[in-house]
Amino acid sequence: MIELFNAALTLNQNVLRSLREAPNVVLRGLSVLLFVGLLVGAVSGASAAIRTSTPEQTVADVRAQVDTFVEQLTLSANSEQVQPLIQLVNENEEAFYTLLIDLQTLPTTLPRPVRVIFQWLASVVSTPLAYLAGLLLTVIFTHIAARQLGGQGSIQQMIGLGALSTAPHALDALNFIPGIGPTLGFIGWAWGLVILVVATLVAHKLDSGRATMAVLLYPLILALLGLLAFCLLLFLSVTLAAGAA
Amino acid sequence: MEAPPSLVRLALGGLLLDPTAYRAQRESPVGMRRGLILVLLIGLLVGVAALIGDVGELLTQPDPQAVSDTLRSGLTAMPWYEQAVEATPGFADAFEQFFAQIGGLSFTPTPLGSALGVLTTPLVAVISWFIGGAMVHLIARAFGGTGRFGQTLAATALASSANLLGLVQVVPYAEVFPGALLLAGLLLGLLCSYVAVRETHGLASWRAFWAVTLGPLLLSLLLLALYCCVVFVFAGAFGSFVQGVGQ
Repeated sequence: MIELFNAALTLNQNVLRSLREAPNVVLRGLSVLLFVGLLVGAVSGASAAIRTSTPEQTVADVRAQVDTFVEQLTLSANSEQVQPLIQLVNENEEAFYTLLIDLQTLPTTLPRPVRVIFQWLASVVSTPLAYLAGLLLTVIFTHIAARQLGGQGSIQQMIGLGALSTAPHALDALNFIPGIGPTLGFIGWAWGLVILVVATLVAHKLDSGRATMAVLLYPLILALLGLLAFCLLLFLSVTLAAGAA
Repeated sequence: MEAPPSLVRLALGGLLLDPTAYRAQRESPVGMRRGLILVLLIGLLVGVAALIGDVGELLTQPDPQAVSDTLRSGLTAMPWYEQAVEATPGFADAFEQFFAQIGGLSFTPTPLGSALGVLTTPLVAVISWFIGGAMVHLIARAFGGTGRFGQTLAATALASSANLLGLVQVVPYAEVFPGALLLAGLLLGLLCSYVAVRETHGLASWRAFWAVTLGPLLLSLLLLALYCCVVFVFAGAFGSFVQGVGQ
């Protein structure tokens, strides 16, 4: 499995071709997804558990987020207009934190650490599911486009090989690092996209141009439709506003 | 009764879209009976897993009434509440009324509801399997499929293996990403049904694709149309009521 993980990251087409012909292609591909999902879920869950292990830490975490929000509001171009909102937050902030601590310290049947452990476990088991949902959605549309463009691969091959595109998402485990976390997440996403193109190319025996087209076709159509709908709404609101005036 | 290891192998084969598992199910003389047992068993397992998860949540959450009381006293102690009461005379009453209404709401799972889920989950799974299988069979036959009804049901029973994803609910608070479980289960279920129809009816990929998606698409359109009709009728009735009151 680690060999497959490394092969995906290094875009090793020979390994991908041998996986394409394997009878357990889905199992092997999804084992990479499971590995990445569990890793990311365990790290991000542990990070969240540390941040919220005691009521005081939870409040400190929320306080930091509120402070960042207020700072952004203050620096925004229309800070004069948002002044009442900033004042409202400042006046009620401390009472809100007291309420938060009161809610956090309400008695429960099992002690608080049990809940923290449950929430960590939930993060561990849910992350692979989130990756799986995203993968299936992507793979179904890519497979349909690839078949329309003359691809010959089966859905099993496409899922097995497409699952390798989750390998760079192991970088999502570092999302908790302030500053570089989101950048690493973006790098993982872009790298995953390249792996998906190569996976489509190998699974469907397409050239790189068609494989890229297969991956991008439906997202581009959706984006275009979204843009058209936005323009239509804008046009309608302008027309209505002009009519009312 | 089927030996458990065989059923487990069958379910895993279905989950991993193994065409041989679907073919074996189609050719088996006890395919339908085995399918029924599989659907019931998976439904029961998922129901029990959800019950365990819900009990875990229940034991680690405070009493809903205590949450409501703390929230009410905390909110009324805030400066914004005093300002709002001074600025708007009827605010305090409206706030109390609003709180009395939402105070009864609880997001904590109830033990009775969860226990009921153990019974309803397999039941709903069997009904969905039967209706979904019948719909897929009719469309597949219309597209030139050659499978028999029993074979379609036997093979589509393997598609219920996608429900195995629901076993994660055994962990309390497992819905960290809302909708992920539902979406993954739905898409995997559709893919499993696609493989089942292709293997049972010997259809080409595109025909099998439409045989599986046409039913849900038509059903969604029908539900959307019904929803629009209901909204239209209610809007009309509400409009007439307002007019009547005005006169």
